[in-house]
Amino acid sequence: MRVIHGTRVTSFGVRYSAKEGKSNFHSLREFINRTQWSLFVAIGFALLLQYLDPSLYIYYQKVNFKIPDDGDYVTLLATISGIGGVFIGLYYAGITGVGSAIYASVPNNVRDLLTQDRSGNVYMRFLSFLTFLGLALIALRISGQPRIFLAIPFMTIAAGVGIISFVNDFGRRTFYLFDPTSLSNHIFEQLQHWVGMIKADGYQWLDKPFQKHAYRQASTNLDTLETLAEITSKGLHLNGKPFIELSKNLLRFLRYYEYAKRSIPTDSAWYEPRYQHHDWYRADDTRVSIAHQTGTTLQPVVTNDKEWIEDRITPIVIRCIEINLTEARYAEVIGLFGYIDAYLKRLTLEGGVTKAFALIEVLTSAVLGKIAIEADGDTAKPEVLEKLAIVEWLALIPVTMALGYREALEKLDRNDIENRMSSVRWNKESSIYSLGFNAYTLEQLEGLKPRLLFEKMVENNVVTPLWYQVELLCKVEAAQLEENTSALVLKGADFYRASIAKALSQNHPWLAAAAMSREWEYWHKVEDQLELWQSKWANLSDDRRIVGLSWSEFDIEALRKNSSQRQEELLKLMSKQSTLLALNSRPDGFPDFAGQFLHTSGEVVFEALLNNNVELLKSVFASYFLGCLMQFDSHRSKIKSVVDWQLQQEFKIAAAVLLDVMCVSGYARLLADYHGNESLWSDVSSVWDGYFASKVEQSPMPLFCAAVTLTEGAFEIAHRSILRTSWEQEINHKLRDVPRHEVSYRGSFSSDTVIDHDSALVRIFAQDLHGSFNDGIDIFIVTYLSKLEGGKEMDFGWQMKGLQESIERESQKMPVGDSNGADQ
Amino acid sequence: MRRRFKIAHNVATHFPSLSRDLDMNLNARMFTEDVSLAVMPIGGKTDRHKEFTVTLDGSPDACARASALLGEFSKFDRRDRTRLVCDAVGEIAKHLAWEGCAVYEIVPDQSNIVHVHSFTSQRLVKFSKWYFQFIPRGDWELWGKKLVIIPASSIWHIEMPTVLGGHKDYMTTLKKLRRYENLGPPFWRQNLARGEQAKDFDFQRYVSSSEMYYRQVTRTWGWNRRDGTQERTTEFYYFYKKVHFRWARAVLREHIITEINILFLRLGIDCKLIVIGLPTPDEVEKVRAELLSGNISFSKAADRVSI
Repeated sequence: MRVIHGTRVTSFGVRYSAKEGKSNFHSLREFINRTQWSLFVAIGFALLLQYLDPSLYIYYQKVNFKIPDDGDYVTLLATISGIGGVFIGLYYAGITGVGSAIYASVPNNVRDLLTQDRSGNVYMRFLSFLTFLGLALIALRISGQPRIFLAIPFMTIAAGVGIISFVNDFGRRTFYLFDPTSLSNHIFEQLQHWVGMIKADGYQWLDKPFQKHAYRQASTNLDTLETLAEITSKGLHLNGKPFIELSKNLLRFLRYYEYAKRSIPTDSAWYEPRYQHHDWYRADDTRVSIAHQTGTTLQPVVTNDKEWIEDRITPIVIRCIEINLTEARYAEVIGLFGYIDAYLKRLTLEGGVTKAFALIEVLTSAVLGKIAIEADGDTAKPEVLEKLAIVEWLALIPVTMALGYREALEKLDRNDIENRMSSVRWNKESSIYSLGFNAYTLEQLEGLKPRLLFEKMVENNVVTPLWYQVELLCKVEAAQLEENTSALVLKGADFYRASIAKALSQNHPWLAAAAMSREWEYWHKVEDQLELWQSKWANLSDDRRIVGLSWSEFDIEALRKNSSQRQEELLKLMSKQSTLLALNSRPDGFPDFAGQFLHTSGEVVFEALLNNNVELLKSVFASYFLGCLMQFDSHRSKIKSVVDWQLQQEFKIAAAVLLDVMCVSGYARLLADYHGNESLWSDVSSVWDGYFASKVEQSPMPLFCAAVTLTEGAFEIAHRSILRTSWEQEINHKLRDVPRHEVSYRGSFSSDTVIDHDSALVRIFAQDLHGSFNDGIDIFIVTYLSKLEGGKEMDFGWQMKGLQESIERESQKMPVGDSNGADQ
Repeated sequence: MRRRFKIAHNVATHFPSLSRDLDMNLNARMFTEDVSLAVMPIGGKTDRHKEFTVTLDGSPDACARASALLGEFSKFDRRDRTRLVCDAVGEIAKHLAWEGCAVYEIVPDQSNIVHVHSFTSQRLVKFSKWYFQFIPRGDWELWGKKLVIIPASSIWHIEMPTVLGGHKDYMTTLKKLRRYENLGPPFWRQNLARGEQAKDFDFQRYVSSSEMYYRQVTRTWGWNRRDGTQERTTEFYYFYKKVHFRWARAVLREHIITEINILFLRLGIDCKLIVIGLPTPDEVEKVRAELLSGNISFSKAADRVSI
C-alpha cells in the first residue's frame, strides 16, 4: 500500500513539476517574444556598425583617429553598459517610490497613466538599447570580429545623452510625478489623436466602426480625466494649482474641439447615439411597406448627442472653480477665467452664443454661490479685492462674447457663401468640411450632398442651381443669426439681472456694482452692433427666391426695445446703487463705481429730459441729486491744503458736481418749455424745494453762489465743463427743430429770424443756431435760485443778469401767432 | 359618335396567352399610367387655362366626318366636341403608354363610313406594304387562325415621338423598369420573412440605388415616380422633374394631334384639328428656364404647366 501511495505521490510530483515547467516555459517564451524586437534592433545595429566600419578606415586615418587596444575597448563598452543599467535601476526606483506614495490607492486607469508616460518610456527604451548595444559589441569582439572604431564616439555620445537627460530632466521629473495631473498630457494627446482621426480626411474618417472606436477610446480617456479630477479635487495639495492646470488644459482642448467640429460629419458615430422614432404617417412608402409586410415596426433613426464631450468636461472645470473659491485661492481662479473667456469666445465665433450663455449661467451660479454668501446683518461688508476682480471677469465674459460675435458676423456674407458653395465638389466626401463652413451649417450641407449627387447620377449634372443651394444655406445662417442675437439681448439681460440680483440679495453691493459696471459696457457693445445685425440679416435674406421657404422671424425693433428696456432698468439700478455706495467708504484699490454710476445717472437724467421721458427722470433724478451732494461733501471733506490757490482749486473740483446738477436742472426748465411738459421741471424743482426746505437753518445758497462764481468767474476751462458743453451742444441740436420764420422790415434789406414758440426761454436759446452764451446753470439760477429766499441778494455774475434781461425782453414780445405782422 | 353596329375586323385584337407573361411590375404600371394621364384636360375641362379651345377647321361635312372618326378613338359617346377630342387623344395616349405605339385597323363600312379599330401591336411585323400578325399558339383556337396579313393602307400606326425616344427606346424603358423590385430582391425578402438579417445587404442603399435607377431610366420623360417626399431630392429638383414631365406630355399631345391631322388627310377628310390654350412644349421650356434662373416660384411654375 505504502509503495503504491509513494508511487502515486512521486507521479503526482513529476506531473505537477512538468506542468509547472511547461507554464514557466510558456512565460519565458512570452517574455522572449516580447523582447525579441528590441534584441534584433540592437544586434542589427551592432552588425550594421561592424559592416560600415571598414569603409570608414580611410577617414579615421585622415583625422589621426587611433583605435584603443582590446582591453580599453571592452572596458569602455562595459562601463557604458554598466552606467545604463544603473540609470535604469535609479529611474524605476524613483517611479516605485512615487507609485507607492501616490498611486497605490488610485484606480487602475489613473495608475496606467504612469506606465503610459511617453517621455519616461522613450528614455527607458533608449537606456535599455544603449546597455544591450554595449554588450552586443563586446560579444562581437569576443567572437573574433575586429574592433569597431565607430562604436567609440557613438557609444560615448549616447551615454552622455543618457546621463545628462537623467540629471536635467528625468531625475527631476520623478518628483513631478507626485502630481498625477502632470500625467494628463498623455490623455490630451490621445484625445486630440482621436478627434484628428474622425475629422474630415482623417484615417478612415467615414468608416462607422473606426468612428465608434474613436468614440470609445475618447470616452475612456474622459473617464480617466474624470477620475483624475476626482482624486485631484480631494487632495489638499492637489486641488490648487494642479487642478487649475488640469482645468486649463481641458479648456484648451475644448477650444480646439469646438473648431474641429466644423470638420466632423454630423452623423458620425463619434457622437453619442440617440434614437428617434418615425411617425407612421410621415414615413416614406418603402419603410411603411416593409414594416407592414414583415410585421415589424419602423426602424428608428439614430441621431446623436453632439455635446457629449462638453457635457463631461465642463462639470470638472466648474468643480475646480468651486473648490478653489472655497479655499480662497482667488488668484488661481482669475488665471483660469482667461481660459474660460477664450473658450467662450471660440464658442461664440462658432455661432454658439446660446450655448455660451448656458455655460456662464452655470458658472455664475457656482461662483456667486461661493463668493456672494449672505453677509451678516444689514450692512454691507467690505469685499476682498480679488472677489471683485472675479465678478468683474465673470461679468466681462458676455462682453467678450458680444465682441466675438461681432467678429464672426463681420465675416458673414452672402457672396462669400456663394463663392464657397460654388467651390464645393459634391462627389468628394471631405469637400464640404474643408471650406470653412460653420458646424451648424453642416447638417444642411450634408442634406444637400446626397440629393445633388442623386441628381448628378440621374441627369449627368447637378440640376439644382447655385442660387437655390445658397438660399438654403443663408436660411440656416439667418436662423442662427436670429438665435444668437436674441440670446445676446435676452439671455444677456437675464444673465446680468440674475447676477446683480443675487449679489444684492446677499448684501454685496460692491460685487453688484462690478457686475453693473460691466453690464453697462456690455450694452454699449450690443448697441454698437444692432445696425450690423440688421444689415447682415438683409444681406442673407433679401434675395429670397424660394417662395414658401420657412425663414426665421428677425425683429430688430423688438431686440432694440428689449435692449433699451434693460438699459433703462440698469440705469435706475446704477442710480440707486451710486447713493448706496457713496454711503460706504471705498476700500483701497476698488474702482470708483459710485462716481461712475453718478456720472452715468447725470447722463441718463439729461437723456430723459431730451427725450421727454418723465418716468425715467422721476426714477433717477432724486438719487442723482442726492448722489451729487454726497459726492460734493465727500470731496470737500478731503480738502486739506492750506495754500489759498490750491484750496480754491480743490474746491472747484469738488464743486463741479454741484454745477452738473444745477446745469441739468436748468435744462429741465428749458426742455419742459420745449416739450410743453411741465412735469419735467416740476419733478426736478420739487427735489430742490425739498432740499432747501430741509436747510432752513443754514441756507446752502452761499455755497452754490461760491461754486458758480469761483468757477465761472475764472478765465479757465472749468473742471468737467467739457462734459457740460456736450450737453449744451445737444440742446442746440434739439432746438434747431423749433419752427422759425424770417421777418423783413419795411424799408430795410435786412431780416430777422423769429422763433415760433410760446416760451421766451426757448426763443432765446433757439435764436442763434450756433448756440447761446448761456447754459443750464444760468437758466437754473435765473429761473429758480435767484427767486428763492436769499437768492436775490446773491451775485451770480454778469451772465445771469444778461439772461434775466433777455427773458424779460423776450417775454414782452407779442405772442407767436401775431409776430408775422412785423413786416406789414 | 358611338358605333351602333358591329364591324367585321380582320386582325386579332388581343392575345390572352401573352398577357399572362406580363408581370404586374409596380414601377412599369405607375409609369405607363402617369405618361398617359392628363395629356389633355380630363373631361375637356380646365380651370387653369380659360383660353383652352378645340376646333375642327374645315367644311361642315368634313368636320362631321372628322368628328365621327374621332368618336371611333373615344371610349365614351361624346356629344361635346372638346370632350370628344380630349377623350380620343387620351385613349391614343393610353395605347402609346402601354405599348410604345398604337395600331388601328381602318375598316370602311357598307356606307363607306370609315371606322378605326384598335388592336394589339404584339407580334405585328411590317414588311413592305403589308403587316403580318403572327398569332401565338395559345390563341389559335380563340381567333381561329395563325396569321393575319393586312395591307399597310388599312392600318393606322402611331409611335412615341422621336424626341421622347420613339417606340424602341420607350419599350426598353418599360423593360428596364420591370427589371427590379422596389421592395428588395427576392432573396432578401425571403430572409426577412424567415426573420433572418442578411449582413452584407444594405437595404437603404438598395432603395436609394433603385430610386436612382428608375429616374435614370425615365430621364427623357422626367418621371419622378410619384415621389413627393423629397427624401432624396431637393424641392427644386422635384419641381424641375414635374415641369420636365409636363413638357414630355405636351410633346406627346402635340405629336398625337399632328398624327390625327395626317390621318385626316390620308382618309381624305379636309379638316384640321386645332387645339389651343394648353401649354406647348416651347412654353413649358420657357417655364423651365425661368425656374432655373429663380424668376418664378415653384407653385407658379407647376401651375403654368399643369392642365
